[in-house]
Amino acid sequence: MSSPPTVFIVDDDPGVRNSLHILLSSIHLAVEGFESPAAFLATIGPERSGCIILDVRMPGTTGVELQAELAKRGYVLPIIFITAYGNVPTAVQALRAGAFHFLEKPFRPGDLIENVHRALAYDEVQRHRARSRAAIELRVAHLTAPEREVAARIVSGTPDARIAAELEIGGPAVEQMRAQILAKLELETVAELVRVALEHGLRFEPEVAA
Amino acid sequence: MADRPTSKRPAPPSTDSDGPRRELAELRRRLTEREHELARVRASEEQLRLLVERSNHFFFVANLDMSAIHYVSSGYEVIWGRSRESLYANPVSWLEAIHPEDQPQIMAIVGRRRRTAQGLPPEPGEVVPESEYDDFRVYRPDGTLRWVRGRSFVTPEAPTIICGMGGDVTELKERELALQRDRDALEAQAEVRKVELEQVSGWLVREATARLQTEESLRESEELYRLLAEHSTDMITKHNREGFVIYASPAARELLGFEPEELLGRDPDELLHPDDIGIVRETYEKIMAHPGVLVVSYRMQRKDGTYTWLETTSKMIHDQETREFQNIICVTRDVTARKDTETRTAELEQQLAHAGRVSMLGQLAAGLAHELNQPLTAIGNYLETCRNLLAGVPVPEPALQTLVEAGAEAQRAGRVIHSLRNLVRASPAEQRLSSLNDLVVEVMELCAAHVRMKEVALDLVLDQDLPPVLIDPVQIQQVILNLVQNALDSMAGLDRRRVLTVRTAQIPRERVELTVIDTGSGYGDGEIDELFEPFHTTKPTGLGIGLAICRGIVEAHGGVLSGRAQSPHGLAFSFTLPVPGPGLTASERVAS
Repeated sequence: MSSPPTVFIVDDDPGVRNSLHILLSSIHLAVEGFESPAAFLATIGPERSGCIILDVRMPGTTGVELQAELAKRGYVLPIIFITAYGNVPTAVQALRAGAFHFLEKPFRPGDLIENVHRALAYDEVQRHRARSRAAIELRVAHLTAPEREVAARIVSGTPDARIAAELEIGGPAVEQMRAQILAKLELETVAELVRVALEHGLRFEPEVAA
Repeated sequence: MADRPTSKRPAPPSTDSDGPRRELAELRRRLTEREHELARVRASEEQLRLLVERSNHFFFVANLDMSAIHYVSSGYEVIWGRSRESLYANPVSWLEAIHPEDQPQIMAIVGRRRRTAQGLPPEPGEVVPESEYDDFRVYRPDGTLRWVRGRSFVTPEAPTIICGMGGDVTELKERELALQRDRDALEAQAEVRKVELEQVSGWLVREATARLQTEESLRESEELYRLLAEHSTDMITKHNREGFVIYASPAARELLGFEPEELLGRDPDELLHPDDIGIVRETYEKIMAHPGVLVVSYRMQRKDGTYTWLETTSKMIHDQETREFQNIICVTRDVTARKDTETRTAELEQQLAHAGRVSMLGQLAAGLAHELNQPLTAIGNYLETCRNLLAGVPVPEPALQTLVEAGAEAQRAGRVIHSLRNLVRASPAEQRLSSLNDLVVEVMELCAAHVRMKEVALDLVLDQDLPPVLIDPVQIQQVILNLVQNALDSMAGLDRRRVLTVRTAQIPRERVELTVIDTGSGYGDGEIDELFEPFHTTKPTGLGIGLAICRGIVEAHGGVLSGRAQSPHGLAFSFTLPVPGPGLTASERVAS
């Protein structure tokens, strides 16, 4: 995560590519330009954050094909498509495949900048969420089997007395385990636990359920 | 053998019994009688001799096989030109002088006489001459040729000799031959004449037949021409030297509304369109100047006063023999329909040419759009960069404003290109059987963010039983998108409830209909038509050709795009599209 969020421009037209480069640099964004999808794939790994400004029609691999290839490789960078050919079906296809936005050339620079900011923010949120999920999942892995049983029931809103009855343990034992769970997951409150669990879709059941 | 005439024997002595005196008297009487008799015979013989010797004819006596000649008269010497002595010395010399062609015939006759006298039957193959006389030719020693006619016979009284006679018949024969030649010549002439006659008669028969046939075919031709003239939808007219009508076929009724009789004696110039009199007169003069067929098109006034386009094929007719002018034959047809077709064809050609230009222009526009949109994008970006770089630097406000205007102009150039590209794509290119509902859903996906952002309520009413339509889906989607964007724009910034309704439905006469309704500010019905005019716009940034292009696209698909005011607010735009008939495949539809 050493690289700052970057706007990757993939467009074979040097005028468009260079003008976008200088425009986005002028508002203090990190920018990298590529003249083809192949050049982009050869340089950039999935760890890079930011967004992509992607031309739809280029010689060789098209923008939509690069979109598919990135999805296959697990890249999560949001894509803003730009095209010199107004083409409704292509736009529909790109948006269905998860494109962040679709702009027809010549677009207003303000529109583009607005969308770049939104895309960067979106990426940031997505990456933060992914990082939190990865972190919480790492901590969940340290829970014991009984703790997982209790955690699952806490998240689904089961009262302590019923948890004790179902697991055939004492009430104080449930409270003790709840404290251990929050400590292991580095959380302050039960409410926090529920929110994180829902946000990341955490499952506490033992992974090997026989 | 001279003087050996045939004579009766003396009567036998009488056996009278009168005594010696009677006997003596009787003897004297007998002697006297004998003397008288002798004298008479002598006289007779002399007469005969003179007769024979002086005759130009010849007489002969010979033995049966003519190996010895007992007697021949002096006529032989005259005719044969040879002496009697030479004949007595060489008894066959008479035969040797005969023309070789005639010898066999004479030999045959001599042989026949001999065998008849001896009582022998004819020899096999023996030719018995028919006539009593035979003609043969004799060469005389001086080389002259004489025709001789003779006969021979054997008498019962002297069965051992053959007698014969004959004469020179050369003059007679020559006359006969001359006659024969004349006759032959006449016959030959007759034959020639007969052949000539036959030829003439054959020619006459053929001529007569031909004339009959010609007359027949002429009658048939006349009948045919009459039938053609009477029943043709083309009007056939005959004109005299002055151009006046002397015959008009019944098609005049159909063509001009006149009865044929009404045209007789009229000058067609009276009925000509004033603008066409010149060309018709010119044609008439050309026809009179040199024979040939000429065609002229002109307008002529019908009986009802209207003008109709006619085309006349004319020819001057000469008398075949005298080469004298007879009349002018004209065949005239109504070419109004053809003129219309020509006009229509010209229009279609223009449309096709337009389509061709449009197609070319379309490709050009697409290419141009791409090439221009790239630098326009770059220009916009650079201008914006410039503004960003000047942020925080003390710069006069008009300078910054100039940058903003320049950027706006780059945007406008982009919109012009966009519109141009759409305009030239106003004909269906790739038709596919498509679901109108699917197209609506796709367009609404594109507009979803826009709809939410503007806080517009979306009312989507899609007929799930809608039949597919044969369309270029890209173009129809552009129409839907345009209508939806117009609707959204019309409701921007309004305080009242904003509802966008998109509805599909089947309507009568095999058509489907899509309607987009907004609750925007709207227009009066009278103003709606203006919305479809190219370059009419109500938007500050619009080009005013969106609806014009949409209408073009819909009409190119055989549909209708119309707009109407809604109560109390807003507008409704609908377009219809034809549903292809059963069994009609996409390719057939495209081909048509």
